[in-house]
Amino acid sequence: MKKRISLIRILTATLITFFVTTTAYAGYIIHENSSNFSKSGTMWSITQYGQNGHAYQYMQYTSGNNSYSNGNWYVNSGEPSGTYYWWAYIPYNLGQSDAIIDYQLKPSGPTTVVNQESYANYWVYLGNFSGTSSAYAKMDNNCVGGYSCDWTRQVWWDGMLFSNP
Amino acid sequence: MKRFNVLTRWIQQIEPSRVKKDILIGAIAGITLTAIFITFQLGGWQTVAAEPPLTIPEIARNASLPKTPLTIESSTEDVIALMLNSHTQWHTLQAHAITTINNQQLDDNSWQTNIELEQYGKGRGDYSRVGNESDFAWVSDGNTLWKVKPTANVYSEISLPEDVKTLENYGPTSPPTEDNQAFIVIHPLDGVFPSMLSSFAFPHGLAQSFQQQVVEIVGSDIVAERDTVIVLSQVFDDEGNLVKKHEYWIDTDTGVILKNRVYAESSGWDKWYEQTTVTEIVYDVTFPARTFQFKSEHNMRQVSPDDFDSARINQ
Repeated sequence: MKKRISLIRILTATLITFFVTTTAYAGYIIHENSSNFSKSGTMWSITQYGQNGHAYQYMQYTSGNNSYSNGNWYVNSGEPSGTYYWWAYIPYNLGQSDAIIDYQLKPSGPTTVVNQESYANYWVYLGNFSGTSSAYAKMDNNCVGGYSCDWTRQVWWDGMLFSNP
Repeated sequence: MKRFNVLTRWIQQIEPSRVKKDILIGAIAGITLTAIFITFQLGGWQTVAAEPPLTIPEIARNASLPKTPLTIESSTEDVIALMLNSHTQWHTLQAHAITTINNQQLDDNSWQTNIELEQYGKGRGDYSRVGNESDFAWVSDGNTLWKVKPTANVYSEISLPEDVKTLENYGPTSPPTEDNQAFIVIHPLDGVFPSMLSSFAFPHGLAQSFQQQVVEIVGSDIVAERDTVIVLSQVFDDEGNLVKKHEYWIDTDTGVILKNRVYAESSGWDKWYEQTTVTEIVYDVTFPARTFQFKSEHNMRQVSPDDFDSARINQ
């Protein structure tokens, strides 16, 4: 009886450890409608399009048109240090032209320009950097120097995929 | 009652030290199992990771270079393969382009872009309203990127990320998801060099999206004295509604994009909303060494990248 109970305990601990460690290895999606996403400024909730059936959308900010909006995707607290790989999900649009924006990987990662008009329902790789548990990705509706920009273009905040293999 | 007695006896038999020992054994076994899982790529997403190419050189090698020049009879696969290998078809590039936005609500509808590139990692360019002085300029020597806003007399200096400095090192270690969702690895300099023409010169991201959607060759044309084939790309949503429509003019020898048109529902799907046309392009010119060196003007002030961004041009 004792041996059987002991075996059950060992098996349970094995499975829990295996599940936790493999999940941590695979990475996870930071959804824009989760508590790991913070937003400021105007964003419209869109349920027609987007990864996981939801996305936030607003328009590009130019002088005198629209307002400034900003979204941050945060990794789970306690995430171990290491090399962080980031992907941004670019959803379908609503038939209007989408904006060219930049994703900034913080606190010490690269800034990657992505033309949201060029892609529809793709994960786009943003690069990697060595970071800590304070890592986050930032994207706003500002124009990006060197690119065309106007206030009629749509900007999308959707899922962000993070992995720390 | 009998069951209750069995449970009571079972709880009484639990020895705390034995429990700790069992949990420790289980944890070690779990970690070992994970190590085996990762090493031998036994998980579904790990198996997927071993299959698709994930760096630009791997993706290019996976698409065999077609016979050039392309013609209107070429297959879309050939066009895509040339675009994926376009970085091997030129060493330096110098181009000028005009971007026009077909929207009467806007004050400024025409912009000009200049770019000079030397592989790998060197470049410079500027962007301005047609007929005006440059609003934005940039230089890269392959290690550092300088962004300049001449009208504000400020510039910022950014070290290029280590993985961006060589094409071979840039890319993820695995696909984004285990269920094989569509993904794009753009050319690193497409995402880093701040120019409308970066994705023209490095069309790898667009080519990967062409691989995963329906595109067709709809004609041929001459742009900037170069032969091109015209590719139409349309994306429909799950209900069959058109959500994106683009046209691209592809250089038949190099795979570089020389013109594009973006259509939008707001302008009517038959009228383009934005058009960028390369008006001049020269491949493989020899640039003087100073071309990719940055020298600030005496009255210019260096600011942090964040401060530079906050002083961004908002047209």
